[in-house]
Parts: sequence; C-alpha cells; structure tokens
Amino acid sequence: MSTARPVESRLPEILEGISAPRTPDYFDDILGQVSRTRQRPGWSFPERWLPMTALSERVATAPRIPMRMAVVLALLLLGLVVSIVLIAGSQRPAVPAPFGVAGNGEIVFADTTGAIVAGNVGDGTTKVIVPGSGHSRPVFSPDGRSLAYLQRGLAGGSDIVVSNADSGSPRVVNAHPVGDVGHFGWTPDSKAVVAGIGAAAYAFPADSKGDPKTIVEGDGVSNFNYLDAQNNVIGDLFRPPNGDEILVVKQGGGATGLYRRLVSGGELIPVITAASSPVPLSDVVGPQWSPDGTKIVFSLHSPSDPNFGRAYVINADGSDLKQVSPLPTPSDAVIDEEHTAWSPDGTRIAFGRWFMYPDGSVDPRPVIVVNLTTGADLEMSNREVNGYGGWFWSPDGKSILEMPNDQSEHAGQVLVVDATTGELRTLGWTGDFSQAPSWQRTAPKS
Amino acid sequence: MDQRDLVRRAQQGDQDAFAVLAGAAVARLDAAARLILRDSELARDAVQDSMVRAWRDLPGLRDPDRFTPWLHRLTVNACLDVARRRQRRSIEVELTTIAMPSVADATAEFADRELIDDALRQLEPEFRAVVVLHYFLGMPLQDVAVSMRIPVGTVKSRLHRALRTMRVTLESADDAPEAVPGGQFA
Repeated sequence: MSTARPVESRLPEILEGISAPRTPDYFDDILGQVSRTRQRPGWSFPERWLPMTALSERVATAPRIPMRMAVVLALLLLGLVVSIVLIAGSQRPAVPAPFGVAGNGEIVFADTTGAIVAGNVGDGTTKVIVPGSGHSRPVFSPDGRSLAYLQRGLAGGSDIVVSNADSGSPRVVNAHPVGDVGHFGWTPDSKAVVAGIGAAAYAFPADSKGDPKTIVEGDGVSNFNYLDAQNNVIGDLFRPPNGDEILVVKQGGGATGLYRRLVSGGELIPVITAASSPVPLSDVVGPQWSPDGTKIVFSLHSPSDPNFGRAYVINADGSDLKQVSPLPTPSDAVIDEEHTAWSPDGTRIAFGRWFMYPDGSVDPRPVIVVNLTTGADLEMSNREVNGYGGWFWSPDGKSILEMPNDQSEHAGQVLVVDATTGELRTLGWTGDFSQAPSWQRTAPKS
Repeated sequence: MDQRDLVRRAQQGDQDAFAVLAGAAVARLDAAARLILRDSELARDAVQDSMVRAWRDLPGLRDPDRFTPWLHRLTVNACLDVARRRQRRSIEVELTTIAMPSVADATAEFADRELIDDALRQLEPEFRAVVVLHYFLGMPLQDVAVSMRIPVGTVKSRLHRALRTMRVTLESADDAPEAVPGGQFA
C-alpha cells in the first residue's frame, strides 16, 4: 500500500529509514589507516608544480668541434635526414585530418576484467589487444595511429600509456602517477594526451615520459574537470581547424552565457549571453564546435523552467541563432534536448530528447538526428538507448554507436544505428560501457 | 573551529583535524555506500578506501569549501569501482537491519519502505548512485552529473528509470490482493 504523495517526495525520508545512518564500527580502523598513511606532498600534485613550460628552455653547452669536421658531419647528417624523410614519406600511410569526416577503423573498449579489446564493426569480431587487469579509458588519437589508455599502478594512481594503434610499443608518458582522471583524450595534432587531473587539464607529450603542459587551470576541486579557475564550465576544447580556442559557459554574476577563449588564456569573448539572447536563457549546456569551427551547437535552458531546454546552433561570432529542430514545443509537456553532437561532415546534429509531463512522468525519446539543410527531424529506431550509456557518431558519419545502460533488453550491448535509415544492429560485445569506447579514425576512402 | 580551518589544518598533516572532519561525515557516507552497494562489507571497503584517499590527496584540494562535495565524489566513485570489481560476484544483500515494526509502526510508510528497498535492489549500482546522490545526499542534478562524469541528461534518464521502477513496484503492491489469515484473499 502506498500513500498519495509521489514516491520522489518521500524518497529522502524512506532512504533515511532504510539506511539508518550511524557511525560505523570500523571508523577507528579508518583513523588507524590514516595514521599509517603518508599524505602526498603538495608538490606531487601536477597543479602545484605546473606549468612546466620553463623546463623546455634548456641551455646546452656543446664541446668545441673543429670547423672542417663540423661541416662534413653536417652535410652527412643532412643527407641522411633527407633520405629518411623521403623513404618515410613514401611509405607512411595517409592519415585523416584532425576534424571532420574520416574512415572507420576499429573500436576499442575496456572489458569487465580490465583488459582492452579491439572490435571490428564490419564482421563483429573482437580480440584482446592489451591483456590483464587494471586498464581503462582506451582512446585513439585523432590521426588513428596511436592509442592511449590508463593503467592502474601498484602504489595507487594510474599511469598514462601510449602505444601504437595495435597496442604495440607501449610506453608510460607520465613521470608521476596521476590521480583521478576526468577528461581523457588527445590534442588535435595527435602529439599529446590530454588528461583532466585534479584541478586542471594537462597535455602529456606522447613521444616521451616528461612533464605535461597545463591547458586549463581548474578551481581546486578534483571533479572540476569541466570547470575553469572561475568555476565556469569548459564546454569544448580545441576549436577546428587550428585547435586554438575553447568554449566556456559562465554562470551567474550577471554574465551567464556562452563564451570562447584562446586555449592559451586571455579574455572571454561573448558568443551569446542572457542579456543578448533573443530567447530566454538561464543556462547553456553541452556546447560543441562544428567540424569546420564556424558554428556552435548547444542547449539553452529557460529561467522559467530549468527542465525546459531546446537545442540551438549559432555562428561562432554570435550571429544567426537558430533552433535546431522545427518540432514545436508541446503545450502539455516540457521538452528537454541535450547531448548535442555534430555529424563529422557538419550537415546534421544529433541529440537526446525528453518530454516531461505535469504528473511527473518522463518520456525519453530515441536519439534524434536533424538535417540542417532540410530541417528533417528523424528519430532513430530504438526507444531504449537514449542518453544512457552514451552514443557518438562514427568517423564516417554514416552511423551512430550506442551503449544502452538502461536495464532495457539492450542494456550492456553495443548497437550500431544507420543514421539515415535508423536500421539497428547489435554487435554482441560485452564490456565496461560505463566508459566510452573509441572509434579509430582512418584516412577517408577516396 | 569551522570546517574550512579544519580542512586547512588537515591539509598540513593534522590527523586530529581530519578525524573531526571524517567523524562528521562518515555516518552519512557509510549509509550512502550501503544504499548504493547493498552490502555492508563492500560499503566498508568503499568508505575506507575513499577516506584514506581523501587523507592522502587532501593537500591537492585547493578550495577547502569544496571538501564535502569532494568527499562525496570520492565515496561514490569508490562504490562504483567496488561494484565493477565485484561485478561477477553475486552481491548478497546484508543491509542494515530494519527494526521490526511494532503494531503501531506497521503502517503504510513502513510497507512502502520495504517496497522501495526491494525496488532499489533491482537497480544497477549506477542507477542507485544517482538516486542516493540526489535524494539522500541532496546533491543538485548538475553536481551529480559532474560527480559521476555523465551528462545531466543521463542523470535525468537514470533517475527517471529508477523512479519508474519504484513506482511500478508500489503500484503492483497496491494492485495485489491483500493476504488475510488462513491464506485467503480479501
């Protein structure tokens, strides 16, 4: 029997009753462990001893070499370098540009034992490429030639490992174990791994174990990884095509809105603010650069109902704000559109949509794909995947990979949805899909 | 001495200050961990892990005012780590014993509590974590999203799914005929 009050309004007191909070009998054990545990010194946190840019300014003192010998050696060296470049250039496979359409390669993901698995979407086969436990967050570089992943360390923390795309030649690129890693990805040039650690995001050079470079400073909270030093949300790193700007969402202080800023720092440049917006704006959610860097997609939340949100697209200079979907806002429900994502060719935008009704019920819709040219608003075929374990576009933009984590019949599976027809295919893979898989980008097929 | 001062002292290695901070938080964190993991021993592992980690990494926390959400985040992530590691092991429920109801306490609320308890068990730890963070620890949805590193929309979805499971459980109980002594139905 239940009372008339809705379950959510009674949950706090019910959870109190179920859990009956009290000081546990192991609290003294915790204090005992604490007394035996050394604190990490402040200098061992990257945010305390970075930036390290000064370290690259190294003054070398070379021994004196006779001039004639030096000239001969220089000519020989030059010839050698030219030869190597010519040979390497003739053999190196083409790589995709860091943004935009690419070919589809393999998909990597961590399985439930902590090994890293590579899967082939074409034939559905998988193979373990990094055996053993303690591995997570595999992610291909934008050029598809390298793989980065985390490897749990014996003494706590993790190491950042970079290898060839097939997991060959692995090497640790961090000098000190890293703590909780939030954002984990690459710089657009595929030369450094970007990790959100502690209070900042850092770039670790992929070719050597060395000191990272600070990309964004945080506010001191370990889970900051989407916040900058002023608690503004970092919306998207690396504006195409040069990767030299980030998006920042500012909340409160009369400055709520979306801004862009140079990665290297500097003033925030307004894109849209509560003061300038032609539609009511209380929050900007999930902004993302278009593949060519000229536009930005995001959700705008309304001050009258924070659950209400529609997806919009705007030019990077703040002009030409447009609602992405032509679907009218229903009169009997609030609507929320989030997780906006550009297709690699920039012609479509995909997002998740929810309808919420006055009685508290929620109707989560499948992933929606809107064609920016025609305005067509297409719901993908599967009702049960929207926004749960996550989804993302394939590098070629023809399909969407979905990881339902919603207790539906598809939970724990990997689904490939044709972005044009909505046709659904189950890959039959099992893994830890609370972490996003990564789809390798290869040179586009001509 | 306020929390900010305690955090600063603990950051400088003062174990007594940390003991005060931990003592103020541990009951609620232990309860949250038991709700998420549905196993007292696993909850103990998770809370111990998060507390020791908090002590170890405290010098890296730049803003002492964020100590509580930081500790919540460490605990819920420790819970989810434990849940993943034990994914293949059947997690048996050994939740805090709920006091047997007296006749006066055998109310609809108590019945609902048991039903909600059952419904929670049916959820995956990631779903329970969203419910616990929002409804038990009182975190706004945006903070839940940041803590669990998932989009706000996913938090909403998980909350929706969890609440639906609970509603269905409660409605099923409402629809079921009431048992009466003698094994007959009323």
